[in-house]
Amino acid sequence: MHKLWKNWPEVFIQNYLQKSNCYFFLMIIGLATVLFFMAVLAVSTGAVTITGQEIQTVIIRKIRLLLGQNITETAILNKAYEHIIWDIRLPRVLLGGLAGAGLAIAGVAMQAVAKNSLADPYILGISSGASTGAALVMVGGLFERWSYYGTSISAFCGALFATALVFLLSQRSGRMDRVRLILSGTAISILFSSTTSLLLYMAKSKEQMQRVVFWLMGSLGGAQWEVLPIAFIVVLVAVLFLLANARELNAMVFGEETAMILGVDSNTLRKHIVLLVAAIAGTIVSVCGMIGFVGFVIPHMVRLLVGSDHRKVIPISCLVGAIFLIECDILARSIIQPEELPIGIITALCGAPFFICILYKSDYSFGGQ
Amino acid sequence: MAIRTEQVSVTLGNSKIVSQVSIQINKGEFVGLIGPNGSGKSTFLKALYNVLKSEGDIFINGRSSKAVSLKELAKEVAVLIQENSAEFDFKVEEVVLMGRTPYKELFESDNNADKDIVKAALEKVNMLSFAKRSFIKLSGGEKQRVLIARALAQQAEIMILDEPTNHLDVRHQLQLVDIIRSLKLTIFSALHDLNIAAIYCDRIYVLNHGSIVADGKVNDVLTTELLRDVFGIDAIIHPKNNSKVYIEYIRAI
Repeated sequence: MHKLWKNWPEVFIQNYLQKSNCYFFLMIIGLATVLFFMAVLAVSTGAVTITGQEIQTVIIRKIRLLLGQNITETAILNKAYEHIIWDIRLPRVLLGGLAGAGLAIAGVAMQAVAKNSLADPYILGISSGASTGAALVMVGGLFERWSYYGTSISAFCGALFATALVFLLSQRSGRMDRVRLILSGTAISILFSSTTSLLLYMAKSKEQMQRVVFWLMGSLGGAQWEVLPIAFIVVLVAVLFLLANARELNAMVFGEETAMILGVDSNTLRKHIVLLVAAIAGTIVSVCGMIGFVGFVIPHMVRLLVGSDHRKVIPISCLVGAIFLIECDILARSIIQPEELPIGIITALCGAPFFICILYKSDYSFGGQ
Repeated sequence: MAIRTEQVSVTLGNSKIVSQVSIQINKGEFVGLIGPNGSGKSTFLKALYNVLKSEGDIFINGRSSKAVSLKELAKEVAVLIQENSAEFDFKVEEVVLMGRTPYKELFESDNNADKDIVKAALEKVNMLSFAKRSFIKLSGGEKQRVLIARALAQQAEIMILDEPTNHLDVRHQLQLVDIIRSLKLTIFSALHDLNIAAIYCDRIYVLNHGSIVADGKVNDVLTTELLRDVFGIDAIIHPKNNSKVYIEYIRAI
C-alpha cells in the first residue's frame, strides 16, 4: 500500500501502459465512453424527450448552485424540464449504473468464493433473504417512518442471515463443498422467497401489495438522490476491496488449498467477501427490488472477453454491468410507454437468451478464450 | 535442516489419521514418502504445509511453522498438489504468475522482475512456448509441469509434492521426476510408484496406518518383508548400483 502511494506513476505505467495490457486499457476507455453515452441516452429517453444540450445546461446550473455560485443567466429552461432531468431521470440513471456495477461484482466475488460458476447472489438465496428482510419492513409498516434506511438495514440483515445459513449448510467436515453450496443455496432461496410470498399474501391493503409486487420484480423507479450515497459507498468499498484482493481471488478460484499454499488466508478472505456481497445485495435489493441475472450473466460475459484474471474481470464487470442495467432500464421505460415494465423482467429476458447462446457455443469453458 | 517434525499427529473428525510422525530432511535431499492408499501420506503433507491443523512441532528451516503466517511459509515452501480449477480458465503464464502471490502487497502489480521469474520458471520445465495457451486444455503431464513452474516462481528452497506423477503415463512420469530432480531443491514427495521412488529418492520414509514404519536408504527400506507386510504384495527385489533397487512385482497377497 505504502509502496503504491509512493510510486503510483510507475505502478500505473506498469499496470496499464505496457504492450500486453494495451488491449485491456483500450477496453476500459471504450466501455467508459459507451457508459457515458448510454447514461446521456437514458436521461434523454422517456415520455418527454430531452436533448443533450438541455441536460448539459441543467447539470451545469445545478452544480454551480451546489457550489454556491450565483446564476447570472436567466433561466432558459422551464422548471418542469429541470425537475424531470435533475429529480427523476438523473438519480435513476446513476442508481442503475451503481446497481448494475454492484450486482456484477457481487456475482464475480461469489463465483470466486464458491469456486463455482453457478454462484450468484440470486441463485444462492442471498437476494431472497434480502427481499424477505425488506418485505418485513414494507408490509410491517415500518417503511414510512424509517424511510430507505429501515428497508436497507432490514434487507442487509436478511441477506446476511441467508448467506450465513447457506455457508453453514454447505460445510462438510469443516470444508465448503461446492455441490452442497448450490443445493443449500437453492433450498434457502426457495425458503425465503416463499416467506416473502407469505408476507405479501398477508399484506393489508391492495395498494401495499401492489407496491411490494412491483418492487419484487425490480424497478429503478424508487431512485432519489438520498438513496444514492449509501449505494455509492457500498459499491465503491466493494470494488476497492476486491481489486486489492484480485490476486488472492485468482488463487481462490483455482482452489481452496491452492490459495492456502500460495499464502492466501482464504478463510478470512471468504468471510470478508461474504459480508461484502450481503451488503451489496441488501443495499441494492432494498432500493431496486429483485433484479436477477445481472450478477450471473455479466461475469461470464466478461470472462469470455478478458479471461479469468480478476484484475481485469473486476473493473470490466463494473462497467459492463452498469451499461447493461442502464440499457435495460431504457427498454423498461420505452417498450410500453407511458407505462413502465419491471426491470427484472427485462434483465432476465435479455440475459437468459444470451447465456443460452454462450452455453451453446460448445467450447465455452467459463473464462477460456 | 530444511524440514523437521516432532511427534506430529493429525486428527480428522474422531479418527487419528497420522500419529506421532517425526522426520528430518536435510537441505538438498530428495526424500520420498511411500505407503499404501489411506496410510495418511496426503494428510501428513497437508499438516506440513499448514493446511491442516496438527499436534506436535513442525520446523521449516529451523522456524516453527505454527509461528509463521501462510504468506511467509509460502516463500519458503512451495507445494504441488492435485487440485485443478475445473471451471475457470487461466492462461499458462497467469497460472505461473500466481506463484508470485506471497511476495505481493495489496494493489501491487507485476513488475518486470516477476515476468522474468515466470519466464525462467517456464523455461526450466520446458513449457515456455505454452505461455499464452489455456491451462485447462493442457494434458495431465503439461499441467503438472506448469504447476511446477508456479511452485518455482515462489522461489522457495523446499518443495513438497503430493503424488506428482498420478494419472501420467510412464514417459511423462519419468520426465516429470527428472525435472523435479534437476531443480536442485530440497524435495519431499509422496510417491505411489515404488520403482520411481527407488530410482530417484536419496532416502525414503514408509507410512502405514498413520505411523512411520521404516526409513533410510532405498535398499535398506525396500525389502521383500516390508513389501509384504505394508503393501501386501509378493515381490522380488533386484539390487542395483548406488544402493538402488528394482522391484519386480509378483502378486497381491
